[in-house]
Amino acid sequence: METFAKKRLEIIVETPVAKQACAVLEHRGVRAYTVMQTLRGLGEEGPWSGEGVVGAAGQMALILAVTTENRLDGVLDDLRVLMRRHFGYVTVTDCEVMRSDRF
Amino acid sequence: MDSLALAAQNLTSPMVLCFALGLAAALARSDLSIPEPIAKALSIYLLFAIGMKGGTSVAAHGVDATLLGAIFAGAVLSALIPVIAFIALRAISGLSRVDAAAVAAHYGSISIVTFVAGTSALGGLGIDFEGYMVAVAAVMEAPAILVALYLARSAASPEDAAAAEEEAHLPGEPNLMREVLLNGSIVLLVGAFAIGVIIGPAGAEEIAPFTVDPFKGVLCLFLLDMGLIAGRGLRSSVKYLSPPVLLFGLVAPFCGAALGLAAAAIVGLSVGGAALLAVLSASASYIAVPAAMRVALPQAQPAIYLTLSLGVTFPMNLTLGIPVYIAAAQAFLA
Repeated sequence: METFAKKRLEIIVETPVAKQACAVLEHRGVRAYTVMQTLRGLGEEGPWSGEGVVGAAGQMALILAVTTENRLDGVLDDLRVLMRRHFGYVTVTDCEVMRSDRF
Repeated sequence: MDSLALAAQNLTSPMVLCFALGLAAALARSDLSIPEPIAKALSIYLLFAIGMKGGTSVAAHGVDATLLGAIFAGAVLSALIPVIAFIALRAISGLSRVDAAAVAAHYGSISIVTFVAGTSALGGLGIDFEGYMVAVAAVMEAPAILVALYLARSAASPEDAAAAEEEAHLPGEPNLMREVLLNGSIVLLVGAFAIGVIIGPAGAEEIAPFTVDPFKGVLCLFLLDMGLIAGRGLRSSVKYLSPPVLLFGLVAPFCGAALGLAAAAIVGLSVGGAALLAVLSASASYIAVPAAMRVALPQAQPAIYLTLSLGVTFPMNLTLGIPVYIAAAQAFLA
């Protein structure tokens, strides 16, 4: 089956700013992303857990996005600004998709 | 009833015992947990029921001249308490300006669950209160956040100010006040209050088997969950609280309650209304304000302000604070 090369972004971000991260993606032309809740993890500030947390503070969201290589630099420029003061991280990996026109 | 008898009665109430069970279970690392969707449903029920009760009471008894005074007093207290808290924290705790401002915002704003527990305690004692105290609770949510942001930003480092400025130019910049004023809890509380005013006692009677009868049982389950959350928070983050900060979390509520009682006396609230204004002034937010702080003051450490408001002040208010505030209102205003 024919597949097409794309870039996959995994963004772990504080839930209160997840909406803004999505707005950044949309503004930069990303046409496909999914937001997921997370359970627990470990980071620079030590272990964290979203279990039983009241409200959005203290919870982290995972945003999974797929985009084209030519949009990637703009997305990362904005995400770098957004992530400067917040917990979380961004990873970029190569991936293959079946339907190129969706991304 | 004296304050000791009130405290003893409060400590053996099913609500407080459920909270204690949750706290103990979490501290003992039990795997007991209430699924998040159920906890959310419980909180929606409680907000709806308490808002409806307040609105129905206003419809039954009408609005008196103290309504505007109480709302004004609530707004002033919410703006004033963070300033006092900020000065006290800077003087005794060694917290940075940003952390002190973030903590101060929590203590100026309110905990609606503490308010609900206060109304339940008053109900158990047969003490009436003004139904519009629900509206006062809603008004007290936001001013503290504005004041704390001013306190923190007036001393932001150039790097922080530049980062915040750059972030503000990104698309989707959250409108902080819109998010605070229109957060789900406030909308539901005020909306249910308005519905209660419109339908009045006759309309409320029709749904009383849902909004009144199960109230205390639902509150028990919700406080069990709050105990679990507070216990987990304490277990993981108490190390971030220095003794002076811990002391602040235990003493500040009583100072806030005293201010609330003084304001209630000036406005002319009843004993029940005064006790609730004291409860509101003594409580610390742990839902709306933490989320607002993560957006507006991300450099402040959530481990400090969340643990202090939820793990220290909330349990203290629930067990000792509420009966003391009620007894003080009785002694001061009776």
